[in-house]
Amino acid sequence: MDQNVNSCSFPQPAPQNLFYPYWCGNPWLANALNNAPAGTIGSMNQAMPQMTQQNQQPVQQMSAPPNMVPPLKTLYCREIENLSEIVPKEIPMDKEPTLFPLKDRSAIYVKYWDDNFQLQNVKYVPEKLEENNGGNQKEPSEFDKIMERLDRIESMFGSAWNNGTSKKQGQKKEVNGNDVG
Amino acid sequence: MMSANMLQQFAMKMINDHPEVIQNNPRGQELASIIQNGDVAKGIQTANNICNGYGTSQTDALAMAGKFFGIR
Repeated sequence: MDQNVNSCSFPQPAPQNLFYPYWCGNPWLANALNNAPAGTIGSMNQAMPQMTQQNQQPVQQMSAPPNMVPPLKTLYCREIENLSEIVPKEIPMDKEPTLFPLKDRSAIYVKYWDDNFQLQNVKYVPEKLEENNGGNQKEPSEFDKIMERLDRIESMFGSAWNNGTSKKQGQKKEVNGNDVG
Repeated sequence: MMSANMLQQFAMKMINDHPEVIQNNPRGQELASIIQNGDVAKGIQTANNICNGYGTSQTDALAMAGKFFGIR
């Protein structure tokens, strides 16, 4: 076995073999698949010797730095078009849920075996989250601040200017009135 | 048809012969402990629950198991 495979490590305990989701409910079936004589359906070990060596050799655990983010957890997931596509053997019996999102994203079905070995079905309906108004409010830039101050100054001068022009216009009207009169 | 006692012995033999199968499987260990303790009521309830989950009857499940293991 090459060094790359030896140094391989999984963030989670790796499934014992590729049949994991399917043999979970039937450990003897898994054993039979792995130990079946050559040429039969269970001769995966001979067909893929790397799998056997990987399984037999202890997986080296990398020591994680103290500030490292916890490793991601793998969940089984498969897109479906309707609920009838789900086959019970797809749900592992290790209490881990299996996710079945609908292709149109209208719901997500979650199935798992509970403590009493009862198959539980949960339906999650997506709810579109409202935009966070607080997050969308942008911090005003320096330019915006300057423009705001200019607007305020302009409004102050503008009112004074308007008053001034109206007075002048009034005087002009009076002058014009005198001329007429 | 095998008796319940014979089935228990058969299951125990399978567990003893292949301990590695349930060694890292907590649910498998739970099932094995039910068989080992001879908790009939719990065993029947668990079997029925699993059968319901798989959408099959207890009779059909027993028939399938018998066919798979070559027993009857």
